[in-house]
Amino acid sequence: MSEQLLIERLKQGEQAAFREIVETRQSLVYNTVLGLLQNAEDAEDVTQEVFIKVFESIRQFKGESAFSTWLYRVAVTSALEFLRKKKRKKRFAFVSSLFGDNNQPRHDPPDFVHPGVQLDNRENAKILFLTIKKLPENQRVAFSLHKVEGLSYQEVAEVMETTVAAVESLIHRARQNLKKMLADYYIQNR
Amino acid sequence: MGNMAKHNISDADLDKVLNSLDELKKAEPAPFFFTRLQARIAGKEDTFLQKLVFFVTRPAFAMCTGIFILLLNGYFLMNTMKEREIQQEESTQMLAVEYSSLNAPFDESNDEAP
Repeated sequence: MSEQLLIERLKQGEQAAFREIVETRQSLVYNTVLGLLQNAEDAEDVTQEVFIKVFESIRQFKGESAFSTWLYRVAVTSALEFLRKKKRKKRFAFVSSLFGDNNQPRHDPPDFVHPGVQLDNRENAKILFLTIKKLPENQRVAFSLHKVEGLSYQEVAEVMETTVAAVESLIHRARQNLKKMLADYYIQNR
Repeated sequence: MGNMAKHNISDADLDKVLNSLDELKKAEPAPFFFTRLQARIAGKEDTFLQKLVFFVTRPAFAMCTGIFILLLNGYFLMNTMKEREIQQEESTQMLAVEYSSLNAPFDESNDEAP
């Protein structure tokens, strides 16, 4: 079945179309979100949120970009929103604990290892993910989409609604920053 | 890279770390993702109702609603009283005009022949 037809059926609220979209795109969304959040539980939550948003706002999708590009955008925006919310929650965790609010934010496991990493790269990938967390938001998104999701510069540019040159620059700066931070990490952990 | 910390880090070593995500396989959510998603959608509707009930039954909400109704009553009461006053004033004025026109002295000058 063509993607366009599937989207039309989803716009009409057809449950079977929604199921098909979820089952064929869950890996795309989950992998993108996991690369940004680096926490499997949070990634599952946000992936569910993404599909709920897709179901609720599919009428806003006008087909100006590919459906997958739109899906990546929703996934990246939701993951970043989640990270900001989590940061805010952590900041106010002490205050809310005074009022007996038990809705504490989940803590990230100290060593995140992406399940798709090759066995002989596990140690290096663990340190790299730890360092990626410290990158500025835009660099983090561009680097993650390119490295974790395997998108080309052109595709990353479409998702981030920017130019290919801007993406090249973002990824170049991300690499430079990562190198500096990795060097510092190894000096400190000597 | 485990031994990297023990000696100076070269650019090549750093590149090796940076390239450690090459050939990364895509991660998949745990099985039965769609079932969990459906359960969450169903739960979301319940949560909205629960939140609404919780909000409506809060004392602050009841007090605010009470104050709002009292203010609304006061406003309508004042408006009705003002309207009545205006109506009374108008009818008094009309009565006065009617009364004065009935008792107006007859203008004799009009009867005089040219």
